[in-house]
Amino acid sequence: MILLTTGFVFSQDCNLKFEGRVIDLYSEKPLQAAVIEVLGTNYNTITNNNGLFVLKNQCKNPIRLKISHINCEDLFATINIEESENQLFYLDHKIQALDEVVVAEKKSYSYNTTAKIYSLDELQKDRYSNKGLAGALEQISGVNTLSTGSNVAKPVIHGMFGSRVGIIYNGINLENQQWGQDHAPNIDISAFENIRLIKGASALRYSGSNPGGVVILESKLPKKIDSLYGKTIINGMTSGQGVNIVSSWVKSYKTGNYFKVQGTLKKIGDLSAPSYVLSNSGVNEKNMSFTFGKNNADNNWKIYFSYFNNEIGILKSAHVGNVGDLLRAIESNEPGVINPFSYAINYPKQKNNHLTSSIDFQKVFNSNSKLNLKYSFQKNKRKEFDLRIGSVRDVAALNLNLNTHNFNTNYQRNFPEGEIDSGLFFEIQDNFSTTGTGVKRLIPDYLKTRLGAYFTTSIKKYSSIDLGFGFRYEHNSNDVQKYYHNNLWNSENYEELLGQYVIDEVFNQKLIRRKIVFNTISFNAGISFELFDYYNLGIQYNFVQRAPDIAEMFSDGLHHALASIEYGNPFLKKETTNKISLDFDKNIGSFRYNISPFLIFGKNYIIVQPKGFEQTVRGAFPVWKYQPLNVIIRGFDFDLLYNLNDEITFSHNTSLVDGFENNTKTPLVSIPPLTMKNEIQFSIPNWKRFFIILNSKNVFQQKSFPDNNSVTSIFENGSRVDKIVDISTPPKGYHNLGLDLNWGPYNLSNMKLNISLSFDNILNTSYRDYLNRLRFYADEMGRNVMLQIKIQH
Amino acid sequence: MLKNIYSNLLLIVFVLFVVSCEKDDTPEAELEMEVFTRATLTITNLTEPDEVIAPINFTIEAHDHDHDDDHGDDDHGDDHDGEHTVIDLETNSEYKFDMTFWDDTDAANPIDMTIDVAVETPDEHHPYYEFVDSTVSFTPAADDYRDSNGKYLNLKTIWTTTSAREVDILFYLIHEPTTKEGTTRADFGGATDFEFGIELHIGEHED
Repeated sequence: MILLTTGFVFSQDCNLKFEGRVIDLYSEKPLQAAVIEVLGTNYNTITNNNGLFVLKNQCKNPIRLKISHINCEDLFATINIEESENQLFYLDHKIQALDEVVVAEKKSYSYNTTAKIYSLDELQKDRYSNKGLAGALEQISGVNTLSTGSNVAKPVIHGMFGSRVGIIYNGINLENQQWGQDHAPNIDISAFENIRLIKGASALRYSGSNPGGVVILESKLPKKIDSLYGKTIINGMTSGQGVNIVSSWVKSYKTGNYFKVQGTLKKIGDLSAPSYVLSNSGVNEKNMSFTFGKNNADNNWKIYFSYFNNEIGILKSAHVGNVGDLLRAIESNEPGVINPFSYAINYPKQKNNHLTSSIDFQKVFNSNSKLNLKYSFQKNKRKEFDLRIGSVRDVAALNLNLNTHNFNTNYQRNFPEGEIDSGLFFEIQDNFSTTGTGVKRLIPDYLKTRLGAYFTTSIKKYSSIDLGFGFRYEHNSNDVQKYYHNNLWNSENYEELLGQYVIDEVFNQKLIRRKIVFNTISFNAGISFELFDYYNLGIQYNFVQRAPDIAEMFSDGLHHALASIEYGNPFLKKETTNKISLDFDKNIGSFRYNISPFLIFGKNYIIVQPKGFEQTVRGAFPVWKYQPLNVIIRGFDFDLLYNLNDEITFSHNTSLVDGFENNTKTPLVSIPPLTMKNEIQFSIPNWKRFFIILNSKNVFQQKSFPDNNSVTSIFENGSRVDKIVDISTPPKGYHNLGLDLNWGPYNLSNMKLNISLSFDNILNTSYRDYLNRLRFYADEMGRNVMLQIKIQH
Repeated sequence: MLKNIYSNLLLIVFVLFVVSCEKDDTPEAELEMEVFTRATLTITNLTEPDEVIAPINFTIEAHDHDHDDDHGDDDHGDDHDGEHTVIDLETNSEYKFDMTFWDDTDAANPIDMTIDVAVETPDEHHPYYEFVDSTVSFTPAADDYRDSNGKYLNLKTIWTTTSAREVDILFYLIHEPTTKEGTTRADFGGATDFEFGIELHIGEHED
């Protein structure tokens, strides 16, 4: 949008008054509720119905103004009050979708790191508001998605996922990633204005155990003005005949009080692959969040509450009885079950609930230092329903609860030459299963206590050199109570090593109680400097120790959505990774790029790999076991942005990752294949409220993979033959084309309207993705046309 | 002042830590339910009713997976050899096969799961014998269970043998078959609840 400001000056000695008007250049209508801040002072005001504002008692001359309006780019202007009487200020805000992903923001956001921070702007976030966090982050180079079917997706950064990728929302570490690979982060991206991503463990304020990277979701602090504003997004999509409605409202007061409420409703039926319906792939989701806070001059506080609830259908055909069924699924081009489209979510399915409440208090001592205190509580609940018979037909086969209390404090201080941030944290986590499922616990009951401290600093001694350093210590104590089936106990020979921990024996099961303590440290150091004009070089080193998850040590049982049996390894040690990464970028001008190679050495790097088959009461199942390996993961990300002219922008990114076990050079499983993404954004001159983005994604076949195949015998042409069950060979590469058409913003009384029409997989290509763990059963989604209506009110 | 705040916080953290790192309640053991742990095939010789054939039990060990921690592909040879059970039958005879399913979790009180399968959810299940041989055939017995469409479940079957032969058979209990019409396992879809191999050795046998 374009802002036009006219100003009138009334000079009264030192008691200067400035009157201005903010107008939307397109409609030439006054803009209400634009915020005018006099920089360097606490003075601010807003425009009235006629777009008018008055600055009173101005003594300083000249003054610098920041004029902002909801969802518009800020306009900065310097005014010499004594001299100017009437000025015009232009801000040509071209809608630019590609900018920020390609070139990271320079600001450190108090993370005190020189590592690159990638950010999704509002447009990109809204564009993916129906795809969830993993889908939105996939726009960033080096970020892939590990999925289980179409609705369960986790972000993968440099080949790492799950506990190795931290998700921080409103300063809280999301606590459910340790539940396994088929569990998507329970987070509604629509509740946050800013989404940032750091590749590598460089946000030690929040977390030290995420060698893959950290995703940080934050809400903007409303300004101290009397205002009511918000945003509503309605998405409709053809695949699954789905609807997704997101609405958020903020009421702010001059006194500094504010209230924010946000809600999301999502209903999607069975999705469609190009040639068939993906039966039982629907989703129902209901989320809500409230924030209430007060900003004072020397302190501020905030109370936050959020509720997330979803029900996810698991592809019906992915429910297999044994390896013979899996073999038939792999050999068949089509899923075993194809029913007509339906909104019904039948078994197998997942039900997730996530509740968060938090209280924040910040004390500002002076402009240079502040102290934060934060308490948060998270309650996660997850149920998995399977196809069962008899009295337990409608009983969840998995019923997990995870309650986490976290208390943390941090102190930040700015110096002319840098900043320090230090803090303490303490956390108690109680994980338990609701009994009565009739299935042994996948994850045992445990109580985890974590406490520790961190210190980070950034130093800017010379204008062109940035230094960042961080250290974090964590004490991690687990009190685990686990039932072992006698068969497993005997076959694994646990008596010798775990016999001393047995506290009870019931129904062929031994109950052990074990205290497991890990002390971990993480640190990072980085430097970023201007190599020569416009060219920057950053070097980043991360040392990360991660305590194994309880799931990695003790999981035991059938993973329904993965059609596999998973066994933990109770003897895992802490995992250590060393990561060195470089960032070489040119981030000024119409041609910008960024090359980021990285090298990771992992010691006791915990990997879950298929390891044989197990004959169970349901038939033979592939067994996935957690194992510590010494690994090397390496690769690079390359981003490029070229502003050809005002109308055309081209962007490209490539990411390549390679990972292998260091002794045998055996490739690691589930490493993302070479991926290339290209986007062209173009607009038409003199038709500034419309632009088109054409995007293409090339995913090559992963040629580097371990052989985890097995053999089973079946009847074929009248006789029994041995067949290889090929669960290893990655699917062929694919090319996806997409198109986005965007109109707006248009003014509708006091509102702004944006409309977009997006086509995903426009060629309706049938393909399968290596990182989808249900790839054996069905193709990915076919063409999907999405209509999005966004109203800013 | 800051020093004070920090030392107080440290004290709070320490107290919290000391009081809260115990988990007091012992988790209840989970009773595994709706589990088939055994299938029993009872065979009666209808031609020579005096001949007694001991019931054949097919039990599935809950845990017999590979427990090597190296990278070897030791399981490549796992072709279910161990699950074949040899059954000796006479030529030119008629036998009744009666398949039942059991839950032996509580060994003292085995639960007959056949009712769950054949009476409560017959439409959702399809027991199926897969083999290719013209010298042996079977038909449903008169007292076999039927689903709501009147289709026999093949749990009680009459087998007719002719000449001497060795016949390789795979038995499946298929859950939620996409259809009950077909001639190979692949035709039925669904998920396999039970699968095991039997070998009929048809010929002259010493009693």
